[in-house]
Amino acid sequence: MKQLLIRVATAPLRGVEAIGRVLLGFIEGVGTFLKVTARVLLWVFRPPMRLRTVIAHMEFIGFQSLAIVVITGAFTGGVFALQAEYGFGLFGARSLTGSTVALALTRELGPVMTALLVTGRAGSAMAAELGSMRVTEQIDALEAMAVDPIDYLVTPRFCASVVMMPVLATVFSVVGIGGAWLVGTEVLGISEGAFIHRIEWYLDPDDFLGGLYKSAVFGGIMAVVSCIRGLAARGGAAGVGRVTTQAVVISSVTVLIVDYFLTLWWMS
Amino acid sequence: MTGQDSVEPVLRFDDVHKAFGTFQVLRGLDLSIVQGRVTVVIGRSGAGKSVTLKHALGLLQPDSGRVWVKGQDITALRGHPLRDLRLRFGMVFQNAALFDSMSVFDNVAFPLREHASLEPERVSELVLEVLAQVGLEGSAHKLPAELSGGMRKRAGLARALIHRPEILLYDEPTTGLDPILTAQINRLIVQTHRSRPDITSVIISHDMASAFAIADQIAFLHEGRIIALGPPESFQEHPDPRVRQFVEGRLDGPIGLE
Repeated sequence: MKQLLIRVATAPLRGVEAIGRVLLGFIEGVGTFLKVTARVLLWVFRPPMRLRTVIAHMEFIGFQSLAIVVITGAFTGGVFALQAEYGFGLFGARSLTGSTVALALTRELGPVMTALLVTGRAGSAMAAELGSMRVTEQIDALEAMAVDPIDYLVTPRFCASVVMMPVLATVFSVVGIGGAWLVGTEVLGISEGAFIHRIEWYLDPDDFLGGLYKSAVFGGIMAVVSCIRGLAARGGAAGVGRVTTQAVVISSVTVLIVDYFLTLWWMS
Repeated sequence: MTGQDSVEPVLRFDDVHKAFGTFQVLRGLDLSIVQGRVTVVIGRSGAGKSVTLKHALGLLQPDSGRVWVKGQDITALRGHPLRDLRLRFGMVFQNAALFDSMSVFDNVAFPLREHASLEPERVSELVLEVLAQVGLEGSAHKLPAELSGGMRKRAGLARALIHRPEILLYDEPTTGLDPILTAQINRLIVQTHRSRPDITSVIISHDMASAFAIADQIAFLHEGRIIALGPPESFQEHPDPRVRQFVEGRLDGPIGLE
């Protein structure tokens, strides 16, 4: 009875402790992210330039993600056209469908959806690969041979992601607009002229550029977060699985939060 | 104990303490390793043997105490000095820790490609030479996954030897091998040592037979401290009952099961 009373009385304290722990974990995570990013940026400009490795990662992150990006982009554009046409149709502005889809794709959907897709595909692979290297002492071996894992493992992945993410986001947007055009003109019967003319009218190069910059930032976030989680793996296979999940979850949430603030800043 | 105090040790641990969370691993480790000797550090699993080796390389920093390499305090080394320090070591990991995406050749060539600006022909020459030394000349193109346990350990040794280190560290080199492979690895360690008498070897192990076969001196690590140090003969009839229990592999004695 007495113990129960103590437990009830200290419950609020335990709550505060839990919140404190989460907060400390968050601050520590942000600190690690900034520290590792700074080290990566230093290594980007410091020899050795690992061009071959970067190209290999570009092939993995970029080329091998093309199929999933094209399929998702086409269907996202198509379904978005269906929904937009329904909305605009309510007040007789169906011809705005094309421009709305194009704006949304280049400014938001392209960069964000691509980042989430690539995180699921390549970010998880990065965390799993580095995680299994960690638990089999390959990271220790690198360090024992006087090679910095940030230089050898993280920086090439970072460079490849920063370059390839905007390329993939562009592919996503272009294919998405294509999908929307197909659905708009063939299924919904919007005239081709109006569809394309409105896109030309509304879409600025700035919209496109803003999307590209965002993608590059998302690529960097995905690479750094995934590598940090991978390097933090402990234990055996279960540890690798855990950091892989963490890499995808943390990267995805961070991308969405950073997207909001970048958009806010870009629009102001 | 072995008259080593008169010689400047290559590697010295000075009252090193290290804890992971609440678990205290090293509790005042004092150990001096003399140049040109094979020192085998024995002890139970979890006694802190691997942690000791990682301190020598600067992969871990002590909570208190100092680690000295050739008279230089390495405890607070960072950046380039730490890199230079690590280049003086060669480390053979317990499971070889070969990069599994690279062939044996590329694994062994790795330290040279990273740190020495040599022509590819010269790299190839040196790699094949050291692979021949460990009897792996025919397996250069194989991936680590295609190798047996003993071959992996030999490839790990070749990678540690390639840049001609001054100090070789072995983490459990014979664990998990059958008696014949164990004998082969032990012979390789001794041969390596004979071919380069200036090299200092530190081997951590719980394999007593191997320790007796290859050691110039044995150090017994127990509960984070060295409790016995001396030539192998002194461990045959050691006065400390804990050492005797370990050497004889008995269940009953002062060392209990966790």
